[in-house]
Amino acid sequence: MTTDEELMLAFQRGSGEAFTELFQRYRQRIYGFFRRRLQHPSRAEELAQETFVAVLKAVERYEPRALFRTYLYSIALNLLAAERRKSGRETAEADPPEPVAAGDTEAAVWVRDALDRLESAEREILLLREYEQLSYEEIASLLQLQLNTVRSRLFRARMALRELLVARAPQA
Amino acid sequence: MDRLTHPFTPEEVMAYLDGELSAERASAAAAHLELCSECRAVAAGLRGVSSQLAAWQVETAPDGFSESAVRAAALPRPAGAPRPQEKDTRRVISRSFLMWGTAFAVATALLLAVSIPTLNRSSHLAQEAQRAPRVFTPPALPPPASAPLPVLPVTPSGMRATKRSNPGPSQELAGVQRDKVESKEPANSLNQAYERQLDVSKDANTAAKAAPASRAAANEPMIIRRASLALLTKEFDSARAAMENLVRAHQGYFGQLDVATPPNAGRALTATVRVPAAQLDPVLVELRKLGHVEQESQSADDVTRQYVDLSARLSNARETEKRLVDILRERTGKVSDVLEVEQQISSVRQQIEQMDAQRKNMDNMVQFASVDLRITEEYKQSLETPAPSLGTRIHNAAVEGFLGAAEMVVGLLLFLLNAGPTLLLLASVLAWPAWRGARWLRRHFRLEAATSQSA
Repeated sequence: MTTDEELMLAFQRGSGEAFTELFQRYRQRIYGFFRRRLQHPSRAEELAQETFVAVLKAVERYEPRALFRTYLYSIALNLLAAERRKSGRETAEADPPEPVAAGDTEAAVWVRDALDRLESAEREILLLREYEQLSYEEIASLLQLQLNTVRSRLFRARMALRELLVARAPQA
Repeated sequence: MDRLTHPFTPEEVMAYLDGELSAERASAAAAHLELCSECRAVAAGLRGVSSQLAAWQVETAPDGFSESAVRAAALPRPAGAPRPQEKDTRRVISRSFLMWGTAFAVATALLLAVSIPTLNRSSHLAQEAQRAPRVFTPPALPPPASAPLPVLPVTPSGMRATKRSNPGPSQELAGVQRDKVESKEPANSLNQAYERQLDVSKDANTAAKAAPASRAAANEPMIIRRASLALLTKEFDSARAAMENLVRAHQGYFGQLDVATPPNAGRALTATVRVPAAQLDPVLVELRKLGHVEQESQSADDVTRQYVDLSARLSNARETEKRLVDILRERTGKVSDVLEVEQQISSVRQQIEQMDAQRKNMDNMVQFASVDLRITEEYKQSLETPAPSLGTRIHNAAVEGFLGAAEMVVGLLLFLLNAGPTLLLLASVLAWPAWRGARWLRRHFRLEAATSQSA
């Protein structure tokens, strides 16, 4: 199978099909990335779209120094950070938190609630590992952390989450 | 769990499960897990967390999030063209802009509609207030207490008869002379001018006296003319003398004259000059030559209608008085009737006197144009002026500073009260478009920043 980086280079040379393939590979993942981190589905969709728009606009500057996946998630993380900064500024006009999504199971609600209780740095590492399936090295590169730091924080996050989920289980 | 009993830390167990260990370490870890129940428990716990996390699945990305939408969004937009992937949003925004734009236009139009007449009225009122002391306003006559006056047709002869009783400006001049104690300088020349003017007004100006009545009779407009002139001169004394000669030569007189010498400023002469209306233009021409003209204005009020109305009412009142006198002369009724007639006569005569005075005043205003003249001397600083002491200067500076601060606070408050509602209205109207624009800019720069940091 053609790698992401090869597809990106092909797209850089003008292959529209290469971008189509890349988009198909990451469409749901990038949407899920934002969906799990933002309250509003519409905003998640907009930012996911902006991520690919940014890829398109910056295609000429792309260099395969790292994995395309890392590159793509770094754009997404930057957009997310900007979104959070803006949300911080616009707390006065912030919408109320989204209620539990209709399709969420009870277990999913627990998981979301438990994740919300984690420390933000550890939560982000855990999300990148569990849902985006990124390697420790990719996470370290994206968050600009040491590899060991990523591993220890990830372990702490998993342990803390286990405690939280176990604590909730008897109430179920 | 320590390295003595367990060759792998829990973190390494986790790394093994995540596939993050090297092949060699991974084999060793797998072998250890076969033997170590404690590490298996750790691994089971970690697997449990991952499996529980898997319960939170995200719904499928919406159809609107498509490749074509992304490609369209990345295209450079022609001016004003909406991005296809955002067409719904853009349509909403366009509608919102249209709505807000319309609201803004309507609000602006309303604001202008409200403010312009108000401004005009304010400006008109300000002008009226400036001219207030000089404007002739015929006061409304109180209605007769008992018998209403019959309205008779206006006759030119009646108006002329009334006009003949007009004594001219001499009465006003006498009043001016009585009040003329405000002048701070010896006014011998002025007094002489007044005396001369008395003679002028008594006999030399009979033509001017008859003019308003004849004009009214001939249906000519009766105009009250006024002018104001501010001059700046270097030679104050000669300008003043020339001005007095000028007024005298044109058979005018001074309604009022003040000369003031304020500290740290040139002398200032303020005068109200009355000249025959026909002489106003030549007088103004001559006055302008006395110095540099800083301000000049002229105005004219047509009082023909008021004059004719007043004359008719006066004539009617006189007719009524005559009939009442005839009734009294016959004395055919009871004593109470006679007393009532006398009261009526007294009331009618009072009205006649009031109207007569008003008409004389109006005649005078029409015959003699009024010029508000201000002559200011160019101030020359004198070296001989003793400087105030340091204490006085500090005191003065402190007082002026306090007054300035107080004035600024009051001015600010007045500004807020005056412009606050308008500013609030404008802010409420402009806030939404500004917010949308700022949001668009932020989005634009965010995209730029995201790619530049990631590239």
